[in-house]
Amino acid sequence: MPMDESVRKAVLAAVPSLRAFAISLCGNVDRADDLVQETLLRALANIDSFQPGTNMSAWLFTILRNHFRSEYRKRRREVEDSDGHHAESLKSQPDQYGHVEFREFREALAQLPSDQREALILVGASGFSYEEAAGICGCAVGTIKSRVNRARTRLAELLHVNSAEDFGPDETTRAVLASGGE
Amino acid sequence: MVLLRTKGTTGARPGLGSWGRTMNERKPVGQQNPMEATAARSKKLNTKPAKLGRDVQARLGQQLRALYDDVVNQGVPDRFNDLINRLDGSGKKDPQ
Repeated sequence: MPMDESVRKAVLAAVPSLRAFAISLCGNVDRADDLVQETLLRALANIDSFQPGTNMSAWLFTILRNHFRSEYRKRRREVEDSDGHHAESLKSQPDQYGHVEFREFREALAQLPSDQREALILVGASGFSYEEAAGICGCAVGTIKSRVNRARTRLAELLHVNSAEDFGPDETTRAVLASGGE
Repeated sequence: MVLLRTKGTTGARPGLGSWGRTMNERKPVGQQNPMEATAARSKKLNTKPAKLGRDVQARLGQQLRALYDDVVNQGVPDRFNDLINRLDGSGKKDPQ
């Protein structure tokens, strides 16, 4: 099926961000890339249900999230211990994101409840509005706002950050974060 | 990422992105006079953790985006370019 050029461009442009979101969900690059691939296949097979003029990224994120959730539910053991398992899988793969200096932050992020982490990433990193994030997660805007707030508070607690000075320059940050970490 | 634009309805401050929406009652650090800054600091000790300073939120946001952008900056891996090419026009030769 020949693809409309604008669709093709919009889909490709969304791939890098889709991958980053998928990694944050899976905690594993290979699985995340499989998830992105399955998402693209589903999306393009159902491209007729995409409404031109609406946000292609948000549409793809929604498909990816729904697919991840349904796949995840099948793997019961992971569901029952989703957050603990997620944290462990991230810890065992220190170079998942490529940079060692993100380790403490990444581990703290992995310890957040999955709904909070997801909301924080959609709003704080993917650049979606609260309204768009609510659409992607299929919940109320207020729910997203409260998840994001709780996620930020919990992150600060986990990283032992009370003020911006606690971050300091890079070396200090690492020392401070490491001393609280393990 | 380029496709995503914050809607102009939220009143987010320029440069702060989505983190600019909260704690907007507090002035940026540089705009506080010393007494206000001290008051804000000592007050912070008594505030419950649910209220994060905007500076802390900004730094957490920076780290989160750095982590995320680390992946985004990897661009589109070949497997996805190949996949799209394969699906596009099914069987049509890839000009690359």
